[in-house]
Amino acid sequence: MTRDITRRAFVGSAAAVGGLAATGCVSPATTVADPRAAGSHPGQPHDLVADASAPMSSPGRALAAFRAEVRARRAAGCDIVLSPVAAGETLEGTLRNLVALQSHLSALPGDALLVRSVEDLTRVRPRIGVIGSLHGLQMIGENIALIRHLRAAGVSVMQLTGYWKNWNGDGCLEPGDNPLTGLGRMVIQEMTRAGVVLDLAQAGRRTSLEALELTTGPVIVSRANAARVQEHPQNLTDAQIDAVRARSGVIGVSAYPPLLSASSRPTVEDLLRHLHYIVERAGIEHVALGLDFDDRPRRRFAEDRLPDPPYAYPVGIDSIADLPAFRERLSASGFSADDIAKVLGGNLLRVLEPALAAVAPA
Amino acid sequence: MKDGLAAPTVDHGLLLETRQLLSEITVVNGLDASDFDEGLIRSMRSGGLHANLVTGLRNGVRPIMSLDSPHLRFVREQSRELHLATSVEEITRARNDGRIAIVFGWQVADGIGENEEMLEGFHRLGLRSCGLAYNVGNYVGSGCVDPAQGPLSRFGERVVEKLQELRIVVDIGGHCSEATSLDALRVARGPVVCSHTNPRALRDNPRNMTDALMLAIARTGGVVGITTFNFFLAAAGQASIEDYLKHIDYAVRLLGDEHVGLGLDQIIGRQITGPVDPRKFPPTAYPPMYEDWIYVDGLADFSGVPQITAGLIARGYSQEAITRIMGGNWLRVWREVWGT
Repeated sequence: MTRDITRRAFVGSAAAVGGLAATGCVSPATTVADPRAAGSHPGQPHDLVADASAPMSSPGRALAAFRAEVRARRAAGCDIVLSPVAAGETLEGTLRNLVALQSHLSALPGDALLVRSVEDLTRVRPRIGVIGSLHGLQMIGENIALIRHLRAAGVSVMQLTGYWKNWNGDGCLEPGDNPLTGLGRMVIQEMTRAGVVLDLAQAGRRTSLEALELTTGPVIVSRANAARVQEHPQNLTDAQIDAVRARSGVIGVSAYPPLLSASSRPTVEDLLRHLHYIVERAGIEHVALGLDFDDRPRRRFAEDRLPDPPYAYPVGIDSIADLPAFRERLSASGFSADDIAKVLGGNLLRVLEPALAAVAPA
Repeated sequence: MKDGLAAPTVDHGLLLETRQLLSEITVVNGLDASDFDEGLIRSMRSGGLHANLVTGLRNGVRPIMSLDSPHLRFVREQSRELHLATSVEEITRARNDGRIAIVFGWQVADGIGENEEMLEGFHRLGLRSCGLAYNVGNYVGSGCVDPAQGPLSRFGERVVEKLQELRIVVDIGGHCSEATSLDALRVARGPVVCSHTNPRALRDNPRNMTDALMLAIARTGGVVGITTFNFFLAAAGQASIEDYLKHIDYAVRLLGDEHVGLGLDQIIGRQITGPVDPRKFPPTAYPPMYEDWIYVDGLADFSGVPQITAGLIARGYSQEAITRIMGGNWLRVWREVWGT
């Protein structure tokens, strides 16, 4: 049967993917004739289309491949990506990834920029905006003072945990379902102080419920679907959905196949089912996109309920190029243009804005 | 005569008997947190210690955390006084040579991050005993004073399996939560130890160990080491050697004399002052100021160790029992785990 991935393979694969998939085309919700003309119409933040998860940047990713992804995102009309600069790396690896990301961005000034502030959001179009994120805080260990330094370097969204237990709490693949640790409680408060958005994707159920109870700052679950529609440890129970709503947070519905259905090849209908469920449960204000088109291996232990790549992304939305068609499906599905703008980016950016506006105290 | 010493008169018979016994047995301390320097060597000599499992700092660094660990140079430079042991055979040989055997141990598994394969390298550098979590949660499991108290993580299970594969002692230390400790006992095959704790039945402190857990350790063939850290024996005032002997007594009556040892947990040479980190050292378990981290009267360093032996003789323990408690039990369990 399946065995544990060796440590080397896990870290090597994590480092192998780099860059972003992006080509830009503009949301039809704008009224400007040629929004690609730089400076002719600064995008209003709530018109921007955002994906709460896109593949990592890494030193290994060639500039040409990075550029191709940026352009694919723009062609698809995706303006903003939350891009993880680390998913299990050391602090050194994380900083190297940040350097590589900034290097790629400076080589493509007309195509993409790092978004660290609300002002940056207004300058995104016709480019894409990259918001740095972390899939877990393993690289800082107990050193929570590093949170504000990473925030200054352009990492504005941070997951509390990855799939497994870390210093802050349990990931959702741990059998224990333990609460936040004492350090986790301090981390959550520090994130709010530092202007960082708390991301509870991949967190264990009890850890995430306690985090939602405790936090007073912006919170998202960047990639999760509804457990009632498809049971999976990474999907959210009704209690979790309710707690996100109570915190004015958003849930990024995901195209990652095990979160959609038990079928070997899910479809866009499955994604819509999850989206509808969460909208009905929590309201239109609390849903976003967290498509997570990322073919890196994720499994670590033989017990993990995760497939091996390549992943069977859903028919009808198996890459970012399908985003315009997905917008049509939403419309056909009964959502108004306003609602669609919320789901496609408005909600996510509403939650991100206070963090982007925050200035971390010295 | 200093205040606080037990007997106002010297019992010469007891003194002779103690000296005689000490010349025959191998005295082993199962967990030391002292600074690993020349001062420690002097203290170990003064107490007649033959083997010591060190986990304390040298030049601010914990043992063998890296290839350039100052501990490696220190044992090499002190080769006339010390021998770095990775087998019980070496400990015995060192004793005959007049050198003190040093065993490298960790109180916590943080040195390997999220990668259990690193234990291969640290094993090569001499690691022969390894803790899991230390008071708070980490990648491996949860700690004894943290709000989150749960079992080993998946990674923690792999760590315990790897330790066993490498024949490194699995040490729940006293700093893991009860759930993590019990889980380690579930995953492990062979003996598991608790290098340094005290009976919670005698002193209700979250850092101290329940009877149930001590019994579970003994059932694996393991050993429980008893500390001299004052706050684990007394809530107020300074504990005496008599109090310490009561702790030994209690453990022996509960577990039998094959499952108890010295786990003194001293911090000789450390001069930290000021407030502790309350997350790691909450006031329920530790004095809030480092200045108040005192030890049992007379047992703040190794010079008082012969008094433990004398106390056991006076209490009527047999020579065989004393031989085991003062070191034989550690040697037995180490030989069983290390295989040599």
